Amino acid sequence: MEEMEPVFKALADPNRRLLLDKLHEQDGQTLLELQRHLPEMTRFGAMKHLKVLEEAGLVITRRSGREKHHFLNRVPIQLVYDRWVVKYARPWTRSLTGLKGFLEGAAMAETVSHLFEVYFRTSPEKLWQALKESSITQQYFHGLSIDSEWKPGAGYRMASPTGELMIDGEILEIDPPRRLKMTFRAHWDEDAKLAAPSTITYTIEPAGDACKLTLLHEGLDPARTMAQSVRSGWSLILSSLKTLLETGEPLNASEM
Amino acid sequence: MAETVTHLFEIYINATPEKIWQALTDGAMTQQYYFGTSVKSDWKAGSPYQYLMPDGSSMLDGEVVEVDPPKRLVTTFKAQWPGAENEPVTTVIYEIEPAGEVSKLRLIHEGLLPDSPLTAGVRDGWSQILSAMKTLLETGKPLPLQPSM
Repeated sequence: MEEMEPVFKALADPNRRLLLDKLHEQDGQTLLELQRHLPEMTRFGAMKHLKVLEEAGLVITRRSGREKHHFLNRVPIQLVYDRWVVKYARPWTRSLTGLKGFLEGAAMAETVSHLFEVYFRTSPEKLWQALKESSITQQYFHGLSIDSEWKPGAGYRMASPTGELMIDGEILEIDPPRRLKMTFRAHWDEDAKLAAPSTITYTIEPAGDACKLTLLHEGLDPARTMAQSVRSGWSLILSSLKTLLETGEPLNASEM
Repeated sequence: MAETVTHLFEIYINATPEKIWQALTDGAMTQQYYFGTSVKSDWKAGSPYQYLMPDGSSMLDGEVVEVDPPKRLVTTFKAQWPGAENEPVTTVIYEIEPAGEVSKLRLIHEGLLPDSPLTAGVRDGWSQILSAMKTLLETGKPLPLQPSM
C-alpha cells in the first residue's frame, strides 16, 4: 500500500482538497480557472498544488494548444475508500467532511457507456459468425473462446486458453445477423469482479458494399477502473477483428 | 465557459507510425479514405490546411497548430459543408504511438458543442474515415462505403 502514500499526502492539504472539489464540480478546468478558486494564492502556488495532485494520480492533465486542462481521476480515492473507509469505518462515512461530497459523487454518478462504430469490408453474415465462433474469437478477442447455446435467456462464457473464466453473462436478445444483446460480467481481476453487470449490444447493418458494426457497452459502474479500461480493450478487439476479417491475419498489437 | 463535448477514438493499425503520418498528410492518400477529399498544406505550425473536394472547393479547413512527425498533429477544424455555418472552430488532435508490432492512432476532437448537428455527425464521420484509413493501409484498397454501380 506504499503506492497510496502520495494520495494521503495530497489529500492532507485543504487547498488541494478544494481544487479536487472544484474539479468535481467541473472537469477540464485550466490553471487560470482553478487559480480563481484560490484567490489568496499565487499562480506558482496553485501550480505547485496541482503538481502534487497530478503526481498522486488524483488529477490527469491534457494539453490543448497552449492550454493545459485538468481532469479528476477518481480511481485512487475509490481505492482509499474501498481499502480503509468501507472496511473499517462505514458508519462514519456520512459524517466525513472533505471527502464526503466527492465520494458520494463517485458513488451516485450516472453509469458510464461507450459507443464504438467500425466499418468492415465483409458481409453481415461473416461478421455475425465472427462474434460467436470460438475459432474466430480466439484470434481477435484477447485469445478468448466463447461458448453459448445462442438463444434468449441462455448463458455465455468467454474463457482464456487455459480455461479460466474471463467474461460471462446472459443472452438478452438475438436476431442474426443484425443484433445481439448480452449482459457482461467481467472476471479478469478484483476490480472487474466487484463491478455490477453491464450490457453490451452489437448491431450490424449494411453500409454501401461494406458493413457497419456498432457496439454499445452501457451500464458501467463509474467507481470501477474497468469502466474506463474497457474502452481501450474494445478499441483493440474491434481493430483486431477488422484486420482479421479483411486480411485473414490476426493483428499483433500489444495492449496500451 | 460553455461546456463542450470531446470525441475520442482509438484504432490499432498494422502499419508504422511513418505510414500513418503519411496517410494523414498526403492528399493522394486522403482521397482514398477521407470522403474522396484531398488534403493540402505545407504542414508547418501556423500554416493553413484544406480538404478539397474534386471540384476544388473546401469541405473543411483550418490551421496547423502543432506538428511533430510521426507522433502528434494538432489542427483547428472548421467545417465548410452546408448547415455547418454556425458551428464554432474546434480542435482535432492526432496521436500516433507504436503498440507491439503495430501502431495505435488516437484521435481527439475537442470543443464541440453539445446537441449540435456537427457533434452528432462527426462521430460517425470519424468512424468511417478511421475504418477506411485502416483498410487502405492494411489491404492497399479503399473501403467500399458506397454501393458499387
